[in-house]
Amino acid sequence: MNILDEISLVDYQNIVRQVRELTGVDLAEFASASLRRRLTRCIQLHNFRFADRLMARIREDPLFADTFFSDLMVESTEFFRDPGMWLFLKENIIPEILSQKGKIKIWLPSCVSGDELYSLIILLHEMEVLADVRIQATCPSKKNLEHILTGITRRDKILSGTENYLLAGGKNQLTDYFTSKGILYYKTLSMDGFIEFDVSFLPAEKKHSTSFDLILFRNQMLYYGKHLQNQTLSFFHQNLHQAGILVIGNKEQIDLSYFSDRFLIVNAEEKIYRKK
Amino acid sequence: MDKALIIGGSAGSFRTVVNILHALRTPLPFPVFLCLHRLKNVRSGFVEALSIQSSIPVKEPFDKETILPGIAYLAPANYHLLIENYQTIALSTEPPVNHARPSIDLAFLTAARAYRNHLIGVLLSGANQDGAYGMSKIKELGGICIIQDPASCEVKTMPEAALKLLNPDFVLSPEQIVNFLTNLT
Repeated sequence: MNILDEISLVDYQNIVRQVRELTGVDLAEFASASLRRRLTRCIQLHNFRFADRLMARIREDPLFADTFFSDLMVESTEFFRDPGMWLFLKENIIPEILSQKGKIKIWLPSCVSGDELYSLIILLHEMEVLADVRIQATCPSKKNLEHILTGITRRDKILSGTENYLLAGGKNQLTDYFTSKGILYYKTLSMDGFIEFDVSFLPAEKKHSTSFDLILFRNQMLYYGKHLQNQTLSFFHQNLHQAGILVIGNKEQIDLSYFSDRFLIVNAEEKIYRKK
Repeated sequence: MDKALIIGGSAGSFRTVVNILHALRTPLPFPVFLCLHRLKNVRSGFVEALSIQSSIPVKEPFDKETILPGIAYLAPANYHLLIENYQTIALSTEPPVNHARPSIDLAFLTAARAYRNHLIGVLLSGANQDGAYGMSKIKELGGICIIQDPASCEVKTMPEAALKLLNPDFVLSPEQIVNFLTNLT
């Protein structure tokens, strides 16, 4: 099977229907072109010969549903993607919040591989402000969380992040923040004490006890349909402090005809918004 | 259903793309998709360079942008360009396919599925095998396939890979491709 071949439209629709019946998650809320590719990938990954086998496995093994949801997520492929955004966070957004409040609460609503989280930790470490930071890291599945806690990362992501890191104003070398053991690479900065992890497939499913100063949610809404996008953005708005900041992916957009009374543009190029 | 034109290219394709965009007749009753390999951290400059001599507007689409006739949509740096259906563009940060993001294969495949026999696919000069599989899908679903004549390519790897996989409708020089597309309405 070619890596680009895809499951049939009939299989795709069957899976969406059965996943809804079995788990309550409505995949019809996702963008179809990429979801169909992710479902195909999942079937290939586990060597299921037919889409039916995938559904049988979810029915028979409740733990497998967690793996299935983690397989559906698209992980980032590099550290410090869009360096200009990181530079703006470092030079403008974070100093501004810290000068006003003395501390900062940050939410990453969908930590798939933890690369975005680790890029943020490196940035805060170099700013020497980690003591004033609290991070809520929500993972779409237990499997994602367990993977992040191992600290293991792929060498190609470090390589493709090297230039990004320097463009983002990095003070050292990106490789300084990893150590290799055999063929594996490990993150070396500690994640203890200032990060609280939780698991939720969709970020807007879970109520939070506190509000946030900054939400980083980049390149995940690409895979949502419009309705789920707007629902998620409304939820983020409710969970931001007054004048809190939301960052989305460089090619994502907030529909300001719908959200004009709720968000202002802070930086149009880097897709940084402020709660009204 | 509406038709569409999709062009894939890599090393050695820039001049031909500029010439095609210059020669297209306006008002153009269909959209043009451009999937060209490019540097990931250079966001600006490319659209501007393509726009200078273009007869139609060239833009990098946002995710979920509605497709309109008479506009050339350029795949943004570091994203895959997918055609969600014949009305909407979808972008993706999925891993590179055969080392390419944007992947010409993915753009061609999704466009072929959306436009079927109303699609014209053009594969230009380039240094890898991207686009060959996508071109075969355009052919399979009834679209018109045009491959740049390898003899006229700065780098012929890409057209040659495609020619191994399928029999295109036309193998043309850049001048012939421009002429062919100029006469489309």
